[in-house]
Amino acid sequence: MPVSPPNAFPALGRHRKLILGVFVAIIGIGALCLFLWPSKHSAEREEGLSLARSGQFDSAMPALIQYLDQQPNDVEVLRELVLGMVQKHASDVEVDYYAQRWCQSAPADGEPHRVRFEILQRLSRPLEAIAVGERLLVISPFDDRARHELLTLYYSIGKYDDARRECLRLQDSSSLPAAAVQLWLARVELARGELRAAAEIVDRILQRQPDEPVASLLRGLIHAQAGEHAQAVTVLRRVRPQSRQERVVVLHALGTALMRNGEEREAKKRFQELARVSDAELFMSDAAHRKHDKTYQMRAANALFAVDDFRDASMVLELLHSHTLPDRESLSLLAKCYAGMGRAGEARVTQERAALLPEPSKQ
Amino acid sequence: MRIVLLVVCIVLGLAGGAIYIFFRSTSEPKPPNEAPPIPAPGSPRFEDVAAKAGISFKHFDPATPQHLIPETMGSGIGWIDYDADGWPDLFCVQDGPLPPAPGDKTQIHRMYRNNRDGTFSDVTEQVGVGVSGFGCGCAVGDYDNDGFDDILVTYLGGISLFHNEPDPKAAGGRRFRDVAVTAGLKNSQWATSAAWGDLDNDGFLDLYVCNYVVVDPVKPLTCHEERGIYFTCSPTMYPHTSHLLFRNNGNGTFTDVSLASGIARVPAPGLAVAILDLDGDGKQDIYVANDMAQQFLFRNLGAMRFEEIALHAGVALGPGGARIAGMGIEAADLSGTGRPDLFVTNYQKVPNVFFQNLGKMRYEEMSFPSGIGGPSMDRLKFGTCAIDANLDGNLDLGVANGHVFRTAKKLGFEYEQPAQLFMGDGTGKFKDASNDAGEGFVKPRVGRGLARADFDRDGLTDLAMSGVGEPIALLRNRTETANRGVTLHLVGDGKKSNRNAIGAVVKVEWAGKSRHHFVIGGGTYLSANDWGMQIGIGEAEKMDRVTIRWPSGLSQEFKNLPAKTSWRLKEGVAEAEASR
Repeated sequence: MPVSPPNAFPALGRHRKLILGVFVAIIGIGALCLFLWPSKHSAEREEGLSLARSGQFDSAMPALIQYLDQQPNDVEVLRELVLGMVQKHASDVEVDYYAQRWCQSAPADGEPHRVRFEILQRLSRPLEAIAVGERLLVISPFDDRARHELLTLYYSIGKYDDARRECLRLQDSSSLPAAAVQLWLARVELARGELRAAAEIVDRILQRQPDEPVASLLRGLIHAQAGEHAQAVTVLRRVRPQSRQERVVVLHALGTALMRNGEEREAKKRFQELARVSDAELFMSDAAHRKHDKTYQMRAANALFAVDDFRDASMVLELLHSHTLPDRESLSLLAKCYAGMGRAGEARVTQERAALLPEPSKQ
Repeated sequence: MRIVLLVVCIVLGLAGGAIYIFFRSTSEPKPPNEAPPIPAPGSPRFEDVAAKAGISFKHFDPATPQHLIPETMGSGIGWIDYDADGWPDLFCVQDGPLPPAPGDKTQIHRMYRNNRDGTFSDVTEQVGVGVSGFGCGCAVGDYDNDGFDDILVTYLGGISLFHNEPDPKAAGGRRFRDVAVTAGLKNSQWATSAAWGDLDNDGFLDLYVCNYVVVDPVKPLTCHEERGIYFTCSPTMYPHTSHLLFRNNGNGTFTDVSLASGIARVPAPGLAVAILDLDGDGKQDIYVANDMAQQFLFRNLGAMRFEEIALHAGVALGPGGARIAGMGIEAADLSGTGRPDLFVTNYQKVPNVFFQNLGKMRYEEMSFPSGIGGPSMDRLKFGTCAIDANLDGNLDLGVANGHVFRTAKKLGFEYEQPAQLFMGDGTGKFKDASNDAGEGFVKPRVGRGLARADFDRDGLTDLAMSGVGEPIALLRNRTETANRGVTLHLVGDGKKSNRNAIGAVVKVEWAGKSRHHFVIGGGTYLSANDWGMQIGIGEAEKMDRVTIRWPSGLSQEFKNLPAKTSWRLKEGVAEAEASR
């Protein structure tokens, strides 16, 4: 006859039904919570998505973010949120938080990587942008636009061999102008110290388009790097820069070439001009951080005017006048800017307005 | 009873569900494990041993809601063997609250004496450097050639000159006394880095002091972006001021020759300065890092007159002619030409700048081709030191990093950033080895000052790093390598050459190889390196020959110096003296 083992916990035996009841209750109520909770959140999700898709992103955003607090890897919600934030010009720093999660949640999808690639470029975070760009090209190897952006990033941080590789891959691209790719290849070869290769590319372009500004600049830089300072001076003098940044590069290269060619007086002039252009650039940036401070706005406008950048100088002044009362000094400068831009009528009217205002105090 | 049990069941059930939901909602993807990687055998490895070594100094964080520019700059550190026992001691500069509160003694500079066993003792009060003020930088040098190094400290509005004097009761038998006023050193501006160097070849150290910008304590300038996030205004928004040059009169006093020498001609926001002979003409030149302005190179014309030639020499601007936010400087033969190259640390989004010396005061900007520009783009760079981290005979570069905006995170950057170690190949090419260099180069900090010394005298160069509002990091070099090194301490005769031998050029030869080293005044950012030079010679067992050109012009040779030894080489004394 089998003998039952002695019951070590006689009390448990007595309340067996109750214990079972507790256990069942825990499971049951827990399951009920699980059942109710997602449905509450899925309602939030649907509401958020629906609002976002109907163009009411501002109303949708809080619901989407709240939902993501519970379901951080919901790809659909992440996509709607990130694209909506981008469209609404939200801060890139804030968007990147969700864009990163979107990339992590959809590692094989090109779209989130493309979006984050652009965000990181706008944030000037080239090393992270490169990592995302490389991943994007693994997913979408025929995305020539991304490849082009990646090559410029490689170039910007001195990874010239990688930049060259991407240039060569882009040579047969149908979506990018061949001349643009060739110019990038020339830049990269110059940076790698391959002067002959760079010169061959640039000379081919200049044969077809003798005034091509980037090719002309590169030709000048190639001469300079080769120690052909006289030729560098001749070429660089002809270059017409397309932006202030390019103007800095040209003036620096020209000043250096002139100096090394023994033309110290002109070199000094070019370097002085370079200093003025750099000041204008910096002062404009400073002005943006003190928008209501007339001192910094006028400093920037004067510096831009001094380097014949009438367009940006007038923009600074117009912005200043949009939130402060114009005075004689700022209006006169604006009139000169208009005149410099060839807008004679506006210049005359603005000067007349300035003349009606009191002279600036001498104190 | 049954009702009670039913209630318990419900409560437990709810709790169970809530716990489940809690765990589910917090199960977001975790960031990757950020534990520092284990370095590969033979690769450089640095470990922060400050706490273990008894360095308890913490920099005061003078943060204000307005994000004022002085609060971002940090303070320096200086290695100084103040008691001349052959073991480097550590001086830590302290700032204070903004606006500065005169008489507040809660924040003071500190001196840590080397106990010669890898630890330090705080001897601040005993040696008399427990002084308060908004301290910025320091420069170490024996300005009176008495055989004991003195300390120059710069402030937001002033300078102190701590003269090292005997005191049998003090730790190490030495004590410091501020003699700035009697020595004739005056500066009411915001002084940052300073450097000692014998600029008129009279055997006494002269002094260059960088001044930064003019701040208005009553009406401070504030800046913010469109969303109202405050950040520190650019130095280009403040009035600039001239730098100072003091000639050492040789009697414990100085004469301000800033104007007459030509160095004060152009005001600029100076942050770092290095004094050395850049063109090999026997006269010490001055290179200055200015923040968002052209860098200065003052060529020494003799008779305490200087000509600013940075643009002509090609060291004024960065890649493409862009302005450099010059923060820190190193000058060393990094490319194996026998000439000193220049390295300048720079702002975030722009590269560190490397100028290769082509000779005859002409330089080529090689920031990206050298491999040192690209990896530095996402860091804001400050102090920098050349060291041979693994004693392979090639100089490497350490850089302290950290942003200046406390609000950096909101603007898309990191405020705390890891330092970087770039391993040189001796030909001017570098590789970023930071991730393999141990905890010391992985932990993010708000790095500012960086200074080198072999504090434990194991033959490997260690680093001390200061940061805004942070404890000092003492990065002990724990590299395991079969390579060997020799430590050289140069001692000028104190008559024709200054005692610190600033300006000396050292050519070392071993196993058919050779390298040039330079004893420079200043360098790095707000900080002072130890004078000892740890020179790697690979697996060689001895340095075959050391040829020194002393500041006096005397050339002297020392032969067959065994490795793993610290040598004192005295000007005019034929035999090298082993320190241990």
